[in-house]
Amino acid sequence: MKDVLLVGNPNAGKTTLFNSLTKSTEHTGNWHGVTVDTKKKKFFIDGAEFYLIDTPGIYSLCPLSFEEKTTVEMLEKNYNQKIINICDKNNLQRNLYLTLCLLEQGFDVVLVINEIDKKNIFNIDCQKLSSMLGIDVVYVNAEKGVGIDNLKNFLKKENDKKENFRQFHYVKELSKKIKNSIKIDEIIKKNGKKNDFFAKNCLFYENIIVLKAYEKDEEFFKKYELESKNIFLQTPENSMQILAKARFDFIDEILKKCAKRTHDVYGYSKFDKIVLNKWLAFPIFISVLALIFYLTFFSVGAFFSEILSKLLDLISSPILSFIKNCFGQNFVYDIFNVAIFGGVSTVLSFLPQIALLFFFLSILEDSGYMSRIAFIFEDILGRIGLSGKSVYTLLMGFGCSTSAIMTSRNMDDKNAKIKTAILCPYMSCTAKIPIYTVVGGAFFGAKNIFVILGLYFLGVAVAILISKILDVTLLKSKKQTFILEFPPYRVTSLKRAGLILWKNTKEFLLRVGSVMISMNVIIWFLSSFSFSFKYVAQGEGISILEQIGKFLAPIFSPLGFGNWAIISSLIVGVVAKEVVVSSIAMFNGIDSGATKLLSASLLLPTSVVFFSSKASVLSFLVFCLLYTPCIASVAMLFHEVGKKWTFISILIQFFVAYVLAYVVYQIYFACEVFGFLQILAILTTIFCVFISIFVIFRKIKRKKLCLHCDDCGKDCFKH
Amino acid sequence: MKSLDKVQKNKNFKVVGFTGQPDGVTRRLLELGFTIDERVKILSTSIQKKVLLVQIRGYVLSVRASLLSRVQVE
Repeated sequence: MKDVLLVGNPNAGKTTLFNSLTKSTEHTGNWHGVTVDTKKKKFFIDGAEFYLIDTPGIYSLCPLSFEEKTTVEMLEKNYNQKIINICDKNNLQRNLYLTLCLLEQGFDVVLVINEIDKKNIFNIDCQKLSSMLGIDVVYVNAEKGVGIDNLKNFLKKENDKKENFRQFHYVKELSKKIKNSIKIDEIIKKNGKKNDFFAKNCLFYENIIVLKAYEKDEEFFKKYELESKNIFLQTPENSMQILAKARFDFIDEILKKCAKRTHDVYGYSKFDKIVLNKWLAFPIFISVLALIFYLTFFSVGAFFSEILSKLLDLISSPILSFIKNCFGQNFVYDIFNVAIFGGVSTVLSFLPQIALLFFFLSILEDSGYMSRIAFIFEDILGRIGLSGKSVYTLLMGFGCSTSAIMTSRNMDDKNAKIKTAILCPYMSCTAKIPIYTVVGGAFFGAKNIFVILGLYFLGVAVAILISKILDVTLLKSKKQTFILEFPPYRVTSLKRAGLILWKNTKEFLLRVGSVMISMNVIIWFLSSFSFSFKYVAQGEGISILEQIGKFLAPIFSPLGFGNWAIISSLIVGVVAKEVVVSSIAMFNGIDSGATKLLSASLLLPTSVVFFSSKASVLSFLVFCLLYTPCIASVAMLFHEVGKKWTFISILIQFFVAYVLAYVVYQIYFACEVFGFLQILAILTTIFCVFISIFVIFRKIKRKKLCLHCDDCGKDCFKH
Repeated sequence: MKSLDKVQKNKNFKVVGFTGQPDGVTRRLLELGFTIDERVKILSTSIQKKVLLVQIRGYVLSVRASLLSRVQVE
């Protein structure tokens, strides 16, 4: 059993090739840094077992961000294994830079030229390229599966060479220059980490030390406990430039002989002049988001939700009557009726909307528009201590916070990474859609569209505010190295679109089938039995959940929802946000998936889940938007940012949710009593006063910031 | 000689060197193709001109202006 490592530049098609070879459906996208962690999966070549390891994209063997470090470490760990180096055919000049780095260090490379785009920038003669580099070169179309068999043939081939180091002419010339003045052997013998496998097999090859010295890769020298000071002094001051130029000159030399350039620019189109126009960029972005939300919540999504809801009713009715006939109307029937069919089917009816939102986000990701959004937002996000790259993570947060938090790894700066991860839960995820639709729909009717949009905007606004506060207090960001490649625009294939829909539907059904059913049964038990384990469904006593809810009620009363059932649903919502609605359905005894029925039940004065006014509903929705995310997100946060920041993040979330829910409740309540215009006038005055104070303070601060220029701020590298 | 963040849009320039201490960011710019004598062109700027769209070696990158201020062109 052999490991095969898949490496390449970001957005070269690594995960697409991984999916093709291992028949997987891992997440791909037309965007820099979709893969942030390694993935390992088994595949077979003529019955022989291989393990393919997918890695985050790298440009060279000198990592800059967290995920790049992961790849370089994986390479060093798997030094004796076969490496698939995938290159984007249309960006070959830059992609081959990494190939040279790998060959210089003696990796056993199979070069894969991937045709991502139909646009032919280069016509390549693979055989010539293979003989020039001295390695196997395969031409593939990873998405269509073209050339995969060929690649497998190369992978099963045993490497008969004693060593894979390539003595390219520029390496020899550069080595000569400093070899005479420095005794490399002595440096290695005296200091090197001798037991490390990579060190034993690669490091002691003296040219590597020379190349690393030219690259001024201090981390490398530190890691292998090598003396760097002396050797750095011997290399020219502009050694980095000399080495990079030598490599690119060599690439140009190769491409001149085996490739023909047919187009000028890759990635930039005439369409970008409109999309990136300073007057049109933001209106286009807002229109795209508005269209996605409209299609998800109100037209296509709502239509399919209605159909599914009726279908679920049709399915559940005969099953329930069968159970009733078998067991009678006792607690067994109650479990099926309320906990399983009532609660779960209510959430299930939202499946079309949830799947659609994921689908649209994936189309956005595939289109190449994400890089453009990052470019547009870099100005704004830079001001609050984030990077344009954070846009991807935050937009993914609208889908699922758990997976979005993981993508924060593509940040270069640790503080920016923590901030981005912490901010993800403020983006309203798909699991909250049922809450907004059921609860908001009951009280705001047709106007609920504005409530939902308002909640989405509130989430974004709170995230911006918290990021700014963290940036000036606990998590000051360093200068961001925002460097992002522009991929060409692409249309998602029907096959991929279908796969995305199926994957998200499957994940949602699994969640409903596992977490929600078990949670609902637990909630049913807690709301049907007292602390003395007496069945209290008929209102003969107080249930466990009711007692807990009533105990906590005074805390939530100032927010307008001191009702035990609401508090209980919020508590269980920490497990998964979908459970909030299913528990509300259970408390109100709803036995069908019809969301309209559930909404209507909330308006009844006899409703167990009781909202006293629209103000309390709004306050509840704001609290749901902002309070502690689901347990899976907390676990991911813990994994990405550690114990301390997870704890701080949960505290901030609860505090912000509580304060904002209170403010919203009080303002809405005041509007109902004193009139909307009066309250608006007061709030506008307060806002203007705050803005004036802020502007004055900022002007004073700016004057102090830099004596040399007016607007350089903290980004100034010169002064 | 000018820094790349200060040059006119849609005009070709040639990289002539770097300013400041060579560090990870300089190394990254070099890996991406900003080598001596290479032709570059600014295609677009963000609203506040803090990010620039640069064409180099046949592809396009968006880079923060403060980073491009290290690249000297003529």
